[in-house]
Amino acid sequence: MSGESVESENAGRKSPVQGKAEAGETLMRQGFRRFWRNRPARLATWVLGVLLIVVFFAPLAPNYRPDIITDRNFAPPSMEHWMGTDDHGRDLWSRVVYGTRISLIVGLIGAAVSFFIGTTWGILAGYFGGRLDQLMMRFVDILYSLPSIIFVIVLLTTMKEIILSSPLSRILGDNTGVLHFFLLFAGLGAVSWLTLARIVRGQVLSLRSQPFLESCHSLGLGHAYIIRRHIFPNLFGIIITYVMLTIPSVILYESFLSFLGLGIESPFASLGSLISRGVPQINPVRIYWWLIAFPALTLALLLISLNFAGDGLRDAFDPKSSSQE
Amino acid sequence: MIHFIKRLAMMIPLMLVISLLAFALVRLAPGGPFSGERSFANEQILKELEARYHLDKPVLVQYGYFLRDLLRGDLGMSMKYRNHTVNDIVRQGLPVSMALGFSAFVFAMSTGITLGVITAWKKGDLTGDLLALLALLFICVPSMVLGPILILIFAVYIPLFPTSFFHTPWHAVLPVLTLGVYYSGKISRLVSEGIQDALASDFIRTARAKGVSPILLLFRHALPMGILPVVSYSGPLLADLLTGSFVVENLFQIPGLGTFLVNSSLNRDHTMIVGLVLIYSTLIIFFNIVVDSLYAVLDPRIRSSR
Amino acid sequence: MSKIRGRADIFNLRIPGGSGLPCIWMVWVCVLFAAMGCRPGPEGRRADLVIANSVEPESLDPVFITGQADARVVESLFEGLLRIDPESAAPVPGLAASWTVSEDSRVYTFSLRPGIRWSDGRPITAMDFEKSWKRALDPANAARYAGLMFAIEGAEAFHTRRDEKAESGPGFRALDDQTFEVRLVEPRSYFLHLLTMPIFAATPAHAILESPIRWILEEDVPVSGAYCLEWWRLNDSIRVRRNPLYWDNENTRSEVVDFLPISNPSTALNLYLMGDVDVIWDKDLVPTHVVDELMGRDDFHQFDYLGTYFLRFNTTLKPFDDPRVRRALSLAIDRERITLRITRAGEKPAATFVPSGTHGYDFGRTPVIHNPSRARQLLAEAGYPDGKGFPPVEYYFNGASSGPASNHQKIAVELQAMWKEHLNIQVKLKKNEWKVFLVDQESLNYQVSRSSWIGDYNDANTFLEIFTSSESNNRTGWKNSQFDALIDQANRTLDGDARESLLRQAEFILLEEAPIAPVYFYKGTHMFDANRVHGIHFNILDRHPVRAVSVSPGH
Repeated sequence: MSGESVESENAGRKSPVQGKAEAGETLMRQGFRRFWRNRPARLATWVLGVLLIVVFFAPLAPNYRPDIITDRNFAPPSMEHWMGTDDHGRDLWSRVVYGTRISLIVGLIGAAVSFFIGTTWGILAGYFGGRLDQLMMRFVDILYSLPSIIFVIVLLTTMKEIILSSPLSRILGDNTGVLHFFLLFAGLGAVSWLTLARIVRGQVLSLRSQPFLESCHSLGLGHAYIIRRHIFPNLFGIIITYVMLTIPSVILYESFLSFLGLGIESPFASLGSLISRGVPQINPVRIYWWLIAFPALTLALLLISLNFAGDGLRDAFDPKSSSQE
Repeated sequence: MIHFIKRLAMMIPLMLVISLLAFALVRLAPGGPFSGERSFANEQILKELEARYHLDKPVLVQYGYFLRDLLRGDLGMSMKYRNHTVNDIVRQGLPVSMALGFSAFVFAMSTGITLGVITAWKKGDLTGDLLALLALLFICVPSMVLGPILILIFAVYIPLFPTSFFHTPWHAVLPVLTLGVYYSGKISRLVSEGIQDALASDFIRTARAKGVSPILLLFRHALPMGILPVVSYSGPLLADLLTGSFVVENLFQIPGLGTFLVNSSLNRDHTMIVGLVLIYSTLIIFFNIVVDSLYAVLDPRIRSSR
Repeated sequence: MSKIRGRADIFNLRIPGGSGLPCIWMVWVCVLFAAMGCRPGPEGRRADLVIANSVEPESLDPVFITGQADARVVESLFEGLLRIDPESAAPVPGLAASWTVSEDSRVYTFSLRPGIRWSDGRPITAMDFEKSWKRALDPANAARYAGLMFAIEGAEAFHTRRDEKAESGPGFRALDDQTFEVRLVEPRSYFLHLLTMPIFAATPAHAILESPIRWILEEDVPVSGAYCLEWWRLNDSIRVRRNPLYWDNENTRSEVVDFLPISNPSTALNLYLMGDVDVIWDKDLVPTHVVDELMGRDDFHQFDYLGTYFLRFNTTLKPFDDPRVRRALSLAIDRERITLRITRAGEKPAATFVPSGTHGYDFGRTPVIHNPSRARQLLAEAGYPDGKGFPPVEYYFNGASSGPASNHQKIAVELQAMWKEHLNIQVKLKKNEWKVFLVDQESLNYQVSRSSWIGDYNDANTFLEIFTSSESNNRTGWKNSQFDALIDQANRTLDGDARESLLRQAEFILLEEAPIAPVYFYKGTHMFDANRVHGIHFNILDRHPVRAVSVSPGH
């Protein structure tokens, strides 16, 4: 994970790290081998792989028509429409494929944003402690205590209007939908890093008082080095698990926003928006089951495999993990 | 303890910052609180109405008015529910939200920790794998799908529970399940991971080598350490459960504050947004302080470093 | 090491380990029960009549109310000079026993019923009406429906503070305790219809004086209508109980009535099917996705309703400053497809703006509404043959993924496809939140936008009037002096036939100039078992006095 950067940075200091970097690489290879030996993780990887291939290559198939409105609305699944059609007579299979793609993008970018901000913030606060910690954590408290939904709503509505009325809108041209998209990422990222920051900080706090770190200090090792070589690897398990949990939670958060009418905007569609449109189908009068079942099952499949893969990664790379013995 | 009190005192400036932020944000947002499908007879009337809520003044002056009223414990009149003050609405909605949130909290904690411990304990055999899968399923089903399914099955087809409202404990079962299941899955994963980490740590290995029984190891040594991430998570969890119950309140027609929080944002009911943000943030910050202090008490490593 | 173990010992007492787990579960059950125990439950038994009444009322003050859901509750609490007949929805004597109209139809003199009293026992006098109406017109109260009172002499000037110095004030006064006089600006054939609206109701000035804004929330609010307000629990229920001092108390059918503020159609349907609700009476509470299934049921009732779904064009902006473009877009809309596929509740495609069935008005022949070739021709005449050179255009609507507003999105998608197919023009969709949408519509910050209008009273004027030049509800930038003159003239005309022909001419201009494109007429929808629930009669205003509704026992 950080093998490369370790190498380049340490090369400048001319310390005897050449061997260490190589050891890091074999550690990576070992990790992946361990990951591959984990059956659920391997299965999840296969499922994810198939999902990705379908999602990215299905648009080439002739039956991919997510936007074509036809007269055959609410048609049940058939050979022609594998997952049936929706209220506008659009092919649900195409829409689910399309929605999965969007949901994946939303989840990945959201989790990436959350990972970068959260980890950096948590490590800095936990490692340096004292006033900096106080300040940084108060800031997290403030953001925490602004109910995130208001934060996101205001961000989505105000920022959009503000940007659209500024000269920036000329650069965007017709792509106001894209703008909404990016604001959505920004909003989701901005609200989901907080928990990670707190967890990381808590772990760092407890690591900091462990004897081996004190010996590092007494050896005169630099902060950056200690963080990279001793703190971060110890956090890797909890971070990777949490980031893997963040992808589904971002995807779920997006569906929650869709439920409020603030998520992905038409003509885009996400699994979340498909689901929230399918929810009224769960009623005692008549159920067009395909409208809710297919999007919901796809989402569940996606999230479960993401989670299993995450677990596998964790077991494989966490130096403390029990399965490594 | 002194630390705890100091942090409580810190809340006051913090609340000021938050209320100012909320104040600025709602006023930045486009859209008018008094716009309607049916216009007023003329512009003048709208202006007068806005002036009554000080909307014609600069934001800082408005904030001044707000603080003045706040000192008297008055959060102002709602701009949408024109007979109600924000205090009226908080008085009605907060107990409901708290009841729902705390019930879901206790449910999520008890189920999550139970599941997590068993998962970690049985890791490697079929039970453990199945439980891990169950916890996973919990975090993969959105509440907006789970809720209607529960209603359909347990309230309509098999009329065990009421379909909506929040009058008796019987009414609370389905909403609490809907709200809490997701979080119990999350907690279960945190716990089982924490325990596994702990089991792999040096002192447990030492203890194991010394021949301490596995059960004792799990409950005496691994669990207290493994549960720390959960303690850390319980602050935000409470926050999520208190503020994030909109979907559940909507599905089950529960008269809590979540509905008001989201609707007031959509309705641009400025006084209500600021009032509710203030109420919620006070609660959330307070819980966080409690949780942090608890964390310090529970984790001897932090305690000794202080 | 020993330190950790010591800590763990304490820990073990609190956090689950062996016997700890059941403890936590017990705590949960206790907390749950304690929390619920502290809350007031539904006292006693279920109400005699339970109604699912759409969204939470913004207010129960007749002056502040904004929508139909509010009005339904308010009507049962406060009554005016006239009330509506449950069967025909025609205005019939309410607190006024009788009235006389002057020769020129401009002065109405009402005699109140003798012995009528507020629910707190005080007599209701003509003075109460004077105070109530003044309060409704007071600009400080910013009543949205104040415009309904502008038929009265001096009312508009009073409301807009145009002549603050004028001593006369609005043209109504109490001649004595029993007699109330109203002077109109000019004769209005529908004036008696107006008097049944909540804004004309008698409100208890003596209670309002003590608590000007929160008076309705106080205990035992004095009311003039058939029911007293027992409680108002936000998002839970509004309970009203029979007012024994109401003048027509003997004809009040149900003792206790609950109004449930439900905004989610699925919730309403579940409650209804489980028997927790007797009546669903809001069109927004009918789940559109199963409406075709429900339509086959005996307890599903539909009737014509005084509401129109339409599009507004911003006539101040290119290309919509050209009526040919507006008409082209309107002619390209396949309204039948929208009502059959999207709304699906039996709505009628709208050829005119005034809904069919409006009292004393019929547009006569039905204009052609869907004609793609004519639409293409008009667009070509306007300089855009086959959509070439047509500027980028946005269709603006408010929306949500669930609830009644979710149809706006679906309709937008259909419109976009129709305009693409028939006119070859690319229309983008722009969705925004309700409040932002409204501000943009008011300030003409849109090109084409989704709109709807619900009639206040059963007369074509409540629709056509809003597109006169001075009207603040116009929101299209369209001004037509001929149209204004026709409306003005029609309202001064008392003869029904002559008036109808004037209004027809006005609507003809509106449809030719097309600042709007009507899409469909709403349908009123109720769900209740007619064998069990009695006293609900369908009318185009969708107004059903609760006092006449009863549920037969034994079910």
